[in-house]
Amino acid sequence: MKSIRQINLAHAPNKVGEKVRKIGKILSIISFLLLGLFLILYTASFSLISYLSIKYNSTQERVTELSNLISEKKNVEAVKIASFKKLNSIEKILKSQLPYRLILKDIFEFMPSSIQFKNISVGEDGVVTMETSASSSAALSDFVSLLSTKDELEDKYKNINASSVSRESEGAYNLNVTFVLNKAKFNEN
Amino acid sequence: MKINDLLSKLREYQSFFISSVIAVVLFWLFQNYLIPNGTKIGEMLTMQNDLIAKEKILTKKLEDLGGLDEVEELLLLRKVNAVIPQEKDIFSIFSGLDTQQADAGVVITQSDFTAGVVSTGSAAIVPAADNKPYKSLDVSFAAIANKENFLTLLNNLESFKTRLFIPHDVKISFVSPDTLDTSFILTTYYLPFPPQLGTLETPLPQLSGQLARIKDKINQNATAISDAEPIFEKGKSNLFQ
Repeated sequence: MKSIRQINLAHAPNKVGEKVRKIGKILSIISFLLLGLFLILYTASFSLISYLSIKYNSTQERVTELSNLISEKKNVEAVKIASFKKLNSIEKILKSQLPYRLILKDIFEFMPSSIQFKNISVGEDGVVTMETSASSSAALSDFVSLLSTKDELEDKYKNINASSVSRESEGAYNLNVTFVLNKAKFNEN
Repeated sequence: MKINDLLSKLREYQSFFISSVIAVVLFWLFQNYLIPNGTKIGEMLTMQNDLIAKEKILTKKLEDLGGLDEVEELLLLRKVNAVIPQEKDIFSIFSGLDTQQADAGVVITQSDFTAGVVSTGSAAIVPAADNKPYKSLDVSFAAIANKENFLTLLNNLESFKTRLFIPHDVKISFVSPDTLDTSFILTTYYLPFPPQLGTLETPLPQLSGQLARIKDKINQNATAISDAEPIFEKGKSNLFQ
């Protein structure tokens, strides 16, 4: 019996080497692509820098031109700013003051004819002190009830306090009244 | 044998080596050229945007300045200066009180104040204690008037016809039902001109509604302080002619 045995004398293929070559090929393609990309990006960035530089210089020129034109009008600017600062101060001063005219006008108007003023003082803190005289007890009573409704119905006067009622020899009554102004109510007007 | 093996191995891995070298070179190129360029572009864009914003502000400011009438603005400043002078200006206090007296029909029985330092330069030097830009002077004031005239006086004090007087601590005694003996403090103010204008890009101030109303009222009522030199008649240059 004869047996034939075949022997392969060729080198066995190196599978690892083939894989490395394949990966190497892919990597070199990627490397060249990245190199190309770098060249494109670098050229683009260089062009953009040049463009921005030109644009910046032209804007700078325009700004310098505008600055010079504004400097020529410095006098009118100084006048405008000085006026503005003074107007601003006037506004602040007016805001901080009590509207005395409105306050006194209001007090003069709400006072019944049967009541006469002797003294009024209006302090900077908004406290009003009045010394009044009523011709009769009825007038005094009306006045006190008027004051209480003023406190309840209107917001202009607060803490109305009638004190030291004294009777004079002619039948008249003296009454001292103090109250606090609601400044906000007067500033609204 | 060994060298041949090594060479064949190298040949086997050559593309891998080349791509590694290219990767290293690329990394170096990106690091040293592309990234700095990117940073520079970012900086330039920021600078450009800042410059464009500045250009816009300056263009607007120039437009606003172009819309101003220099003569009109100067006249307004003189009027505002009459209302709130740059120094104490004692003369304008007295003349203002005289005008107020005549206009309201009240009789001033007393007006006095402590002038303090009268030299004009000191007004600009002495800083205000309470950080307010303006400074003030108090005038003790007493007047006799009827109710109507007294209210007119209080109204006129705010009308900007004279320098600004603000009343405080009003005390009224009734001489008769309609005749008032009044006393109060009048505070008057002065404000030196700003020492500097601010930067070039500082926009021109815009008047709010309330400020515009005050400006209109001043324009209408105040009398501008003239900076013209007073004219004195000169005598003969030669007495024997």
